[in-house]
Amino acid sequence: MPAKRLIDLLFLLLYRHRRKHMGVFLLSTLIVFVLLSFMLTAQSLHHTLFSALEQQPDFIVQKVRGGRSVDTPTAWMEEFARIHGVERVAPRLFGRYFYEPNETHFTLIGIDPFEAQSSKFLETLVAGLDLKCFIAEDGMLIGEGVKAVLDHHHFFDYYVFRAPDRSKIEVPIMGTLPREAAVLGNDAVLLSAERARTILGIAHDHATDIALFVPNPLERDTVRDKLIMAHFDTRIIAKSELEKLYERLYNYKGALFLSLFTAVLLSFMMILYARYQGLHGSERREIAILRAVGWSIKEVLSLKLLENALVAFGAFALGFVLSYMYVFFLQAPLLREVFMGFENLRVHLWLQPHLEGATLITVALLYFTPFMAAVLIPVWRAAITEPLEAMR
Amino acid sequence: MIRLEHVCKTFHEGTPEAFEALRDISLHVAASEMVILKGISGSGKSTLLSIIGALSKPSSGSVIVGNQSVAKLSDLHASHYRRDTLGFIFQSFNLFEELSVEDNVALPLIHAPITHDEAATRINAALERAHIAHKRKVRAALLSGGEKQRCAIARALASDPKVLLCDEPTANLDSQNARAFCDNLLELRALGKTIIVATHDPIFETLEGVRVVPIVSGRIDS
Repeated sequence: MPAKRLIDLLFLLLYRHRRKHMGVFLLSTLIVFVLLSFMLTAQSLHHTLFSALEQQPDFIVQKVRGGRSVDTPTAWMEEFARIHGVERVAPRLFGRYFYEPNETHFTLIGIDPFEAQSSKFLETLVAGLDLKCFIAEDGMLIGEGVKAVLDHHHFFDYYVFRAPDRSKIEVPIMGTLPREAAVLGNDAVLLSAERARTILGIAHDHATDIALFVPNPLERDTVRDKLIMAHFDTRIIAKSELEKLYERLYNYKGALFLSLFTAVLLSFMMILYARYQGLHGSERREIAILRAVGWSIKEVLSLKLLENALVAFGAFALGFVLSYMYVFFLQAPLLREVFMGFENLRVHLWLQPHLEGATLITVALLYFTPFMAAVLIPVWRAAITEPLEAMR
Repeated sequence: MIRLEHVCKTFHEGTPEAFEALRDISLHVAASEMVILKGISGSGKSTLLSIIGALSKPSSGSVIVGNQSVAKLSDLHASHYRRDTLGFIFQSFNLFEELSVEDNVALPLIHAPITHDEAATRINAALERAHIAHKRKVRAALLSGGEKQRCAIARALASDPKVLLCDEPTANLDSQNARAFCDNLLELRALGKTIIVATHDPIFETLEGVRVVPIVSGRIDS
């Protein structure tokens, strides 16, 4: 027999049970929407954060005095460069600048335009900006968070910093960092190295810290040991430690949400089961008729599986489309705050579309398995009861 | 054609609610014979039909249809047996109201291992034999009671079965439609179908050449 009659029957069943299916469809769409919105937001943030982390140096060395970080002598760089395995050493100039009117901090970063060409981190921040103009004007590039604060206080074109020697330094605003750089540069102010030194009060023979690049992971432990041996008064921050820190923070929020979601999923299963458990008379009769005219239990189950799979798949597809739009077009209002929070300036991080097949498969398994189990068990129970009883 | 030997059926066996629906039923039905199982509601005639139709298993005894023992068939074999050997006609028609007459008749053939052309031929033949071919495209919901029963007959005939089992088939029909139904059954018997009707409608006793088997409290009343 052609499949057409089976398809006709399938759509007839969908139509006949439209009220029940509609309720389940809406509930399922909501469940998929919530779960996928969470997953997509988390994944996008994870991807962005870890991509940013990849551009960080393998080690950061800071000089410590009396347990607090102080400026690091740049003379150490030569010594570090001689350690076997170290590919590149670079000074970093940055510091937190207290912005009193808002009681907040900007992160001032001094950049050397030549170094900007070779640093992936700076490359990301200044991508697409006119560096020549930036150098010529000796201005600054500011993050979106900084711009919002300065705009609020009518500093549209420049800002006047106060140096430690009480002098005032007016720095023109040359532009805003791209939206994609928000995760790194929301509170950042990029200035020339010279200006940063003046404002932050960092001497010419010092830097905030020193970055080391060690491409071979097998050599990193040895390099770390040698750094400790070279100077006991140092704090060494490894990229792997930062990764662990991020991962812990990320997993903590993920686990919290998954715990909540498990409770919701269990409720969803119970609602579904209760809904299908009470197969009403006409549905029992349908099953009985099919059994009486020669359909096996397996064939009846296949039909009901197909009928409910269409509802489940439709809800999944709609839930996916809605969550994709919510996360990547509307930028996940409310949900984003759960993940991001903010310590200093509010981050307006732009969630970039990023989707992994494994995520979709995980959500699909979490959703379809209980759905089908909750639907098929009552149908199977109806199919094994005596058809004549159901048809009376 | 059909041979039942010492068939018993007890529901809720081994519990305080145990109920003997059939007690030691032995019945032989020849090919092309029409047998009327007559009895009041609850006498066990429908249970007997469901056992012959392999919709229910007997507690003891044997059921042979053709050369096949159907008492202990697996679900898959029982469904093939129902599809290929039997046609069921019910009291309340049991049609899919939103489907057309033709689609209702096609239901038993959806999983049958036959070609599209063969299925179409069988559906046409069944519609003709049940005198409902002119309504083939009409939705079952729009049919009269008599037409619905003819549609149910056509569905029962779709797989060209050897045996027709009818459970109170005239209970929802007026006397004119009940008479037409009986005539239809006689035509089918003439075509070689073996027919068993469970009913308490006296109209069947008036038919020529039928055997009436009274069932009382789960036994054949001799």
